[in-house]
Amino acid sequence: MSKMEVKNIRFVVKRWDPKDGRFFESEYTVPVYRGMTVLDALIYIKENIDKTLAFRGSCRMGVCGTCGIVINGKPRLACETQILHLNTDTVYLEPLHNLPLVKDLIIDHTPFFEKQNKIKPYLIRRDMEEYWNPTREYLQTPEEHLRYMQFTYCLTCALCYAACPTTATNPDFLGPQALMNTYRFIADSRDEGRLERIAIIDNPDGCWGCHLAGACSEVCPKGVDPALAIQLLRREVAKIAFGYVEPVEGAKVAPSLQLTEKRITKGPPEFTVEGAEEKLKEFKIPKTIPVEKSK
Amino acid sequence: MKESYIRLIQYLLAAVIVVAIAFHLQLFSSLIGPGYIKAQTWEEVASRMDNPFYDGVYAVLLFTVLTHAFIGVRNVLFEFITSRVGRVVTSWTLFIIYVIILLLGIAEIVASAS
Repeated sequence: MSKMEVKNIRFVVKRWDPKDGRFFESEYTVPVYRGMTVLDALIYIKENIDKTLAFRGSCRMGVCGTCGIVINGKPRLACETQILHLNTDTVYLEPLHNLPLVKDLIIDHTPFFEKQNKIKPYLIRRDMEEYWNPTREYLQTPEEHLRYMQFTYCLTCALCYAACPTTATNPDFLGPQALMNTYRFIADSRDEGRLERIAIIDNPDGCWGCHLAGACSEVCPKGVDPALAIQLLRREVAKIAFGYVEPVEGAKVAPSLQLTEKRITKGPPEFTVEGAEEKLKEFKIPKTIPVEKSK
Repeated sequence: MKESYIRLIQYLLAAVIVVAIAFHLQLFSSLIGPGYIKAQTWEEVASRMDNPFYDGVYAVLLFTVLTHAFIGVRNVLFEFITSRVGRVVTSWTLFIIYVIILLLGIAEIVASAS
């Protein structure tokens, strides 16, 4: 199908009217071209067919996570879902599940973010002076960063929350995103709030509430695996339950700028980080950088 | 008791039950290799009740299965009961039922031995 070829696709939108609090369906026929996304179709409907249709969207490139809706029964980002890739003549759209409705396809994210706030989604440090008046960055090796890197890709689009069967039956369940974020901070070598966070999630509405359906990981548009994070989180909780508590001292602050200047002016660096000097010796850094000769 | 302890006890007991079932199937159904060569008579089975070792095994099995089951039932009920008071009442009710059944079972093992 070329870019200019158009195929008419039927859109059935499950809408919600806040005035009388009831659901109803609207049907639209949209001329679809190759590459057209569901968000493009919704914008087309809004501009050309029905101005009353309410939906949310912003970046159009799968970054902001605002346009999450249920497309043909599966929570997806409308801006990342190409209509022709769905291989169907009828596209069924619904608002995200497990969250309160505002209007039509718009849901209220408040409970979702409230749960995220419960787990303190920020670095917890004991050196409060450095925390509030930072002098330099905290040191972290690439290996330490890899422990939690994939979990930082989360857009907070709430697709995992909408797909989670436990959240559907237990509204107090923290949900995959909040639990995944808990592990993201626990695994972060800069964080010192491990015990504090585990106390929050060690209950039937926390990490133990997960049934491991895996729907969260299935629908994540960024390939994050919240189900894995929850299992790793359980492992951390189990370690503490068995009395295996690692020291919670967070990563050290990078050497001061004065030290860096000293390195430049006075030759060999003075390392303050334990084992860093030995680590550096492993790398064979050439004294001069070879320059490729131009032909 | 912390939730993590309860869950870990349940997981640990699940592993014990799996091992016990595998052992049982091996003995009586020859799951992996040859098990018992001759069939067991009722008298042979009944006579084990006089053996303190078997009494101990039965008591351990009863404890394992009951504990695992009651924690499981509690987990399922907690899916529906979300209030704090409701959960405390559920836990205590289940614990009382659990203790009664466990005591009845142990009493039965002791009675059959004598």
